[in-house]
Formats: sequence, C-alpha cells, structure tokens
Amino acid sequence: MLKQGRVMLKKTALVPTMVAIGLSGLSTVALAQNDSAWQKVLDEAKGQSVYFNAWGGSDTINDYISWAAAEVKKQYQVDVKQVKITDTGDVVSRILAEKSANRETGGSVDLIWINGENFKAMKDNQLLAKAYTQKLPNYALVDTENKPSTLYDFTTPVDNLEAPWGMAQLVFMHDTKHLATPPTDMHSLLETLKSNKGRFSYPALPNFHGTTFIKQALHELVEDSAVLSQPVSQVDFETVSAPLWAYLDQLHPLLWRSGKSFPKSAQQMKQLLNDSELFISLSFNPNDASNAIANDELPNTIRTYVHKNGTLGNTHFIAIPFNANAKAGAQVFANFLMSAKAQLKKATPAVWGDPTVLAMNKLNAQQQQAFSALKLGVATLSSEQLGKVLLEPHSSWVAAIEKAWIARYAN
Amino acid sequence: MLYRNSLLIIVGGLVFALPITLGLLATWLPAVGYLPGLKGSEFSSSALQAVFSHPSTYSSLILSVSSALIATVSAFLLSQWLCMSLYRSRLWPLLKHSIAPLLAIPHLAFSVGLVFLIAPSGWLMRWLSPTLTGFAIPPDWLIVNDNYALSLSVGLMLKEIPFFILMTLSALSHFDHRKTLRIAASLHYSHVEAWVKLIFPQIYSQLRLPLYAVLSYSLSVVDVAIVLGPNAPATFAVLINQWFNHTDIHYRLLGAAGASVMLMLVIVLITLIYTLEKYLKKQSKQWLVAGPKVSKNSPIFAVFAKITLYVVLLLSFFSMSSLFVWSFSRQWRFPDAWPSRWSLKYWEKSWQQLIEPLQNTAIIGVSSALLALVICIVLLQYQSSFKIPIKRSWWQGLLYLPILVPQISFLFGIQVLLVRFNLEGSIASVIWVHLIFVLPYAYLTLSQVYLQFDDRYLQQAIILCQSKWRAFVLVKLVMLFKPIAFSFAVAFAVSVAQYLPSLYVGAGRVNTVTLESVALASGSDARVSAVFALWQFMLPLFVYIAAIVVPQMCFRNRREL
Repeated sequence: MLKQGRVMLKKTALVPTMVAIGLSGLSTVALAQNDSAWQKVLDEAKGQSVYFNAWGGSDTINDYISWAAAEVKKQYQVDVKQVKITDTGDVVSRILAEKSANRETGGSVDLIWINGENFKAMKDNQLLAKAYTQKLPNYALVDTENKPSTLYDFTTPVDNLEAPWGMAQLVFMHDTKHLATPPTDMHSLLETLKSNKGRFSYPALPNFHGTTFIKQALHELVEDSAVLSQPVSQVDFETVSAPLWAYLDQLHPLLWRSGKSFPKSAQQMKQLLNDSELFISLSFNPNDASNAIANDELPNTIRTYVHKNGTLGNTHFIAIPFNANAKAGAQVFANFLMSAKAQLKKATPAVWGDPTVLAMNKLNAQQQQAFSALKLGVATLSSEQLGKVLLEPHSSWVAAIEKAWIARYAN
Repeated sequence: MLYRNSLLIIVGGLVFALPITLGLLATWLPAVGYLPGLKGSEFSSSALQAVFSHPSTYSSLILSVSSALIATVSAFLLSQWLCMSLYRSRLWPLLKHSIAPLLAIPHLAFSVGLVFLIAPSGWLMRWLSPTLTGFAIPPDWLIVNDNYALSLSVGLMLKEIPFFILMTLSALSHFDHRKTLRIAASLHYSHVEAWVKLIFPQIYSQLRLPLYAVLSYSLSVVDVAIVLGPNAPATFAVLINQWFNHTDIHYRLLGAAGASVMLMLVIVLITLIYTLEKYLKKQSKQWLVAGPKVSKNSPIFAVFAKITLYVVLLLSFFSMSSLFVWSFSRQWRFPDAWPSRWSLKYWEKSWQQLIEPLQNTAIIGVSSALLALVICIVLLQYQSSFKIPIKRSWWQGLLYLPILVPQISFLFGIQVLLVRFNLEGSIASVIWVHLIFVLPYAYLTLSQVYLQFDDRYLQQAIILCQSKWRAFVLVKLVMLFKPIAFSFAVAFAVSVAQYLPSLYVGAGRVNTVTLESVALASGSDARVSAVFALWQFMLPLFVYIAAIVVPQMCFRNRREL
C-alpha cells in the first residue's frame, strides 16, 4: 500500500502545501487522499447500472460474470448487466456510431471486454475514457513487471486505458484416444497430419483464433522472429512471409475438409474434437481442456500441449468507452475483477480456469496460499510445462497477414 | 376521402418510407467515404473501389446469387408442385396442417438442428455407424458449409416452402378455384394442365411479392448463412457483416459500400425476374389459351410430390428432434446413437438466464404483432369500404418495402440515426423497428381473407344493432377471428426471429431470445445452443397453437366459422 501511496504522490498536485511534512507522513496523506478519491468513486457508483459488453459465447464465462455481478451488487450496490455480444467489433462500431452522432455522455456501453486490434482501434479513434486503471486500488496487485503484455497490448501501449483481466496463451488440445503423441512444432504437425489426414484445422481468418494460429506459424517459420516486433511497413512482407505460405500450401490439403472449409471458431473446434471429427484443437485458455472435461463437453482423453519453442501469449482487458454512462460503476466493477478474490475464483479450473494477472508476491500469505492450493485440472499444464511465452507480433502484422491469407485461401 | 388518403400517406410514410429512406441514406454516406467520428473520413469512391478489389468479393457475390436463386426458385416451384399434386388428395389435410408448425420454426433454430442432423458427425451418421457404415470416427466429408453453398441453398429452400404454400393457399381462397377446376375437368383438362394453365396464372400475381421478398431475404441473410454457408469465402451478406464488425474501424466504410452493392444486386435480380416473367407470359399466351392437350394425369407427379412432402416434414421433424436430444444430453460422443449421459442442467440454467430475454421477446412480439394487426385492419377496412382492388392500392409498395429491401442495407443507417436522436436501446424503438418488418407479413396473411369477407353480414348487423362499431367488432372481427389470430401468430413469429434489427437498435440493452441464441451459437457448445434454439422455437410455436386452438374453443358451437 505504501508503494501505491508514492505512486499517487507523483500524480497529485498536493506538493506545495505538503513540503514541510516528512516523507512517511506525506505518503499517508496521499494514501488517505487516494482512499477518499476512491471512496468518492464508490459513492458515486452506488445504484448505477453498468452495461458490460462481453463476448457471450461461453457458458462458463457467462456464469463467472454473473457471479461477479452478484458480488458487486452485494458489496457496492452496483448493478452489472452483461450484454452478450458475438463480436467485439460490433460494439466498437456502435461506440463509433455514437461518437459520430456527437454523443459525449450517456453512451450505451459502460465497460467492454477487449484486447489487441479492437483496443488499438478504439485508442486510435479516441473512443476510450481517459486513463483510469491507476486509480483502482487493486491495479497495484497486477504483475506488470513479469507480465509485459499487461502494459503492451499486442505491442500497443496500454497507457492505463484498460484494466488487465486475465492472461492467455495459445495451447493445443489433442485426443489421446486417437493421437497418442502430439506434434511438437509446425513441421511435426505436418508430419502428424500425413497419417491423420483431415483431423486438424483452424478457424478461417479474420477469426481471432485463426489469426493467432497463423501468427504462431509465422513465428516458428520466419528466419529471424525479431522482425515481427517491427511495424510490417518497415519489412519486406513478401519475403519474410514466404515460408509461411509455402508451409500453408502444404498443410491445407491435409486439413479437415481438405482446407476447403474451415471451422467457424475455436469453440466449434472444441465441439468437433468431442465429435472425433478433429484430433487436435486449439485454445487461448490453458485450462480450457480441463474445464471442458469437468463439464463433459470433452472426454477425459483430451490433453493439452504446446510447441517446443513456445507459443504466443497475451493479456485480455476491460476498458471504459469515452461516453460511458456509468463510469464510476464501471471502475468499481473493473477493480473488483482485479481483486484477489475474483481472480482466484476465475483461475479455478471448474469455474473458468483463466490464469491470473496478479503478482503472487503482492498478495498476502493467505491469498498466496489459496492460489497455490488451486488444483490443476487433469489436462492443464504447469507453468513450467507451458514453457516460453512468445510476444505477439506488432499489431500492424494482423491486417497484412489477414489480407494475404484471404487473397490466397478465401477468394 | 382526400383527407383520409393524406392521413394514410402521412402514417405510412412516417412508419415505413421515412426510416428506410433515412436508413439507406445514412448507409450511403459512409459508402462514399463520409463517416464523421472516424479519422480521415472524407467523400471519395475509394470504399466502393475497395469492395471490388477485395479478393473475396466476386466469389462471394456469385455464392450469394446462386444460393439465393436456387433456394428461392426451387422452394417456389416445389411449393407449387406440392399444392398442385396434393390438392384435395389424402395428404392435403396434412399439408395444410403442417404449415403452422413449420412456419413456427425460426430459420436459425432450423439451421442449427439441420447441422446436428446431417453433418458427418450428425445424428443420421450416428444411427448408421458403426454397424452400417463401419465408421468409428466421422468421415471427413464436406456436407455442410460446402464451397458451392448447396447446403445453405437446401436449408433456405426447406424453410421457405411452407411460406410459399401458405401464400398459395391464401391466393387460392381469393377466387372460386373449385369451380374453375370443375369446369376445366369437364372440358377434359388434366388436373396438372388445369392447374398450370388456369389456376397458376390467377394466383401468380398474389405470389409475386412473396417471391421477391424471399429472394431478397435469401440474398441478404446472415445468421443462417453463418451456420450453413461456406466460409472461405463466405456469402456476400456475411462478408458485409464481417466488414461492419471488423477490428479496423475503417472497414465500416467498406461495409456500408458493400451494403449498397447488396441493394443494387437485389434490385437487379428482381428486375431480371420481373422481365423474365413478362417474357414467359408473352411467350406462353398462345399455349395458355389453346385448350386441353393431355387428358391423363401422370401418377409420377403425385408420387414425387408425396416424397417431397415427407422429406420436408421428416427433415424438419428430425432437425428439431436432434436439438431436443442434444438439449438433454450431458455427454454424447460419436458414434453413439443416443447420449451416454443425460442432464437437465442446461434447461435449468437457461431458465435463470432467459427470464428477462423471454419477457422482452414476448413484449416486443405481442406489441409489434398487435400494432401491425391494428394498422392492417384499418388499411384493409379502408380498402374494402372503398372497394379498392388489391393491385392498385398505393400503400402496397410501401408496406412491402421493408421485406424487399435487404435489412443489412439500411439497418446500419437506422442505427446511426437513432443514436443521433438518442432513441436507441429502448424497448419502444425495438418494437417500432420490428413493426416495420412484421407488418408486411401480417398484411400478406390477412389481406385476402379480409377483403373477401361478405360485407352483407356487416350491413345486416348494422341494421340490427344500430351501431357501426358494435357491428364491426361483434360481427366482422369475430367472424374473422380465426384468420386474424393466425395472422397474429405469423407476425409474432417474424418478430421473434428478428436478429439484425434487435442487434442494431437494441444497443445490447434490449436482450431477446434470438440475440442470446446467436451469441451462444457462436460459442457452439452443442448442448447450450440446442436449449436456446428450442426456446427460440417454443415461443412462436406456443402462439401458433394458441392461434389455432383459441378460435376453435370460442367457436365450438359455431361450426360454420
């Protein structure tokens, strides 16, 4: 808490009147100031309705959000309503429509679950409320030191415009009943499919998971992956990406439906994995398989694996639009979602199993113990097994990859 | 009369023409590059150019046109075939009675069920495997989401056949077709010939608008095309939707330009069909009046029609049944014919989640259907009291505009406008937008019967009770209660199924069962999708049943009604 007080000192303009006060006293005052500022937010939030626009395609996630909503209702009298959306782009579009109609207040979205390209689009078009996460008490618990993706969202600086909610890492799931030894990289994936033709695919781009798979392949196949952190305009995209397309040309005939049709989403792939149409699927949640086994969405023969040189990882966030109607309520909910209690519940495999954004050393002993006592699901890898987390390429790569992919495979 | 006319023009204009025109305009502006709020927004033709230089555009357009034409034309021809061949046969009552339940099935629920049934890991294959097929794992066959959009065409076709049959029956009631057929038979026309030469030309003018509406719908449908259609590339409507939802906000301009192209496409196709129709009419004139040529009926026709009817019914029945089984399953793996573990969990959970959406759906459906009926009855009463023939009523064009113009081509604009006037996200605006789409169907289903009503009953009643209003309500409306109730059910079902209008106008605040279904269908946990699709089906089904049962109960003692 002391640390937080110091941070606040830098940000508030108390200094002139406080010169005579000693450092420790000063930080206490700042802390009190901070507390009262936060108390003001809490007071203002009371009775507000927060429309939380979050992807609604997963029952387990929806259940978790309902739980969190009930908690903040009980503790802070904030009424959170999840608007179940199919596509975050939809919501960005609606906020844009509001901006173009000059609606500066009373917007329809109070809070939005977001990351990557959508965040960049909102940031670039000034669709976000001003920086807020530094004001949230629980933000101090976030592991910004060891989880760089909490500060750089697909290389776009977060600038306190969105609150980290959970960590994601690309993992693969395989059905051990049909496929005992999983591939270890893109080349062995190709070899595996030669004897298991049609039992893997990835969602058609521009689907988020599809794009991620292609980025992973690119990462593994380029000569020097360092180029990926540069804006795509500064490199020779044709040359750099050539090995990727050569690889995909080989891969596609071996895919599900011979690469003529693609699954719609990673969620559909999970269903196809259950149906034995696929032997390998992918997910952004390392606990996905365990969670799905726990609720019988997948059989218990499913296991998780990653590629030997690491897989892409990122953070997902929640952001407040510039014209949100219940900004205080949205902040209260965002703060709650970053609390040790909410993060612990979220990390529980039977609930959602989404990895925490918090730093263990910033929690108290009891909280730390609760986190370490979490039982990994049968199909969940330990953090050592999950291996190296590769950083997302510069966000400008997505558009270039997508365009080239569509021109080759969806024309 | 003049006063009344202008009143109708104002009402009709406010409710229909204005929102659509403004919606179109507000879509066209971004199509030419103007979208305030977006950085670097200025007038240019680059959005249109971008649409045509996008690598998916041409294939997508071809897929959209081919699937829409195949679905519309085959559904139309099959519905005519069924009506002609099964007319007054043993299967006629079955045909008539199956219309309501088939219409009650929402397009989306039907598509999801169809996939569960016919996919390589679907229920059919599970029954046959492994005993008959030898498959321990599902074969890698491209059945749904095929690259030629054939499964999409078939899905749409199956869903439009009952609608065309309903329209055909309604058109048949417009004139004394029994007499026509009797006379034709006495003149040695075969049944088929009498139907094609004497009946069809008389009903076609009533089927023209439904035909165009189905074509426009099939071209621009998004939810069904996502479930059944191809995805590399997808149909043009899905592509437009992807552009509207693209992470790069500048794709909105592309989306708006694409939506305008879609409108042009609909206009071109409808014009083509209209021209073709005129040409065929001219060419067949001689043949139509040349009298009977074949006097024997070929039994093949009837057999083919019977098979078609059974296929439609069985596919629909088993699609919905597969949803039903999935909704109670806990674990169901290939090739088990039935779930290995059952559960009520997903139904129980859905109930808690759906209380609010169900309420909203019911309120929106009932309000928009009731409003639509009131407007229809006012219009029709006006029409019948001034004896205005259906063809020449000027509001027909306006009424049908919303179902002829593809939704996707003006909803984005409507959204922009509602936001500007701070009207989006309220249940009233959603009801209003639903009304725009519901009214044409209410009018389509009610107008024939209503205009045919023998007003001598009404005149008699006015003489007896001395009150125009009492006579109108107690005699005319009561006598027409059955068709009015049915029309209400159709209108309600149309409202329940609306996806894009609820999405764009509800601003996420007015949640409906269909919005929930599509959101969860994107997640594709089969069990949850099944439960939600069934909820989406049950509301209209319940209303259809009520619309059939309630009049029967009321008129138990009045069999002639």
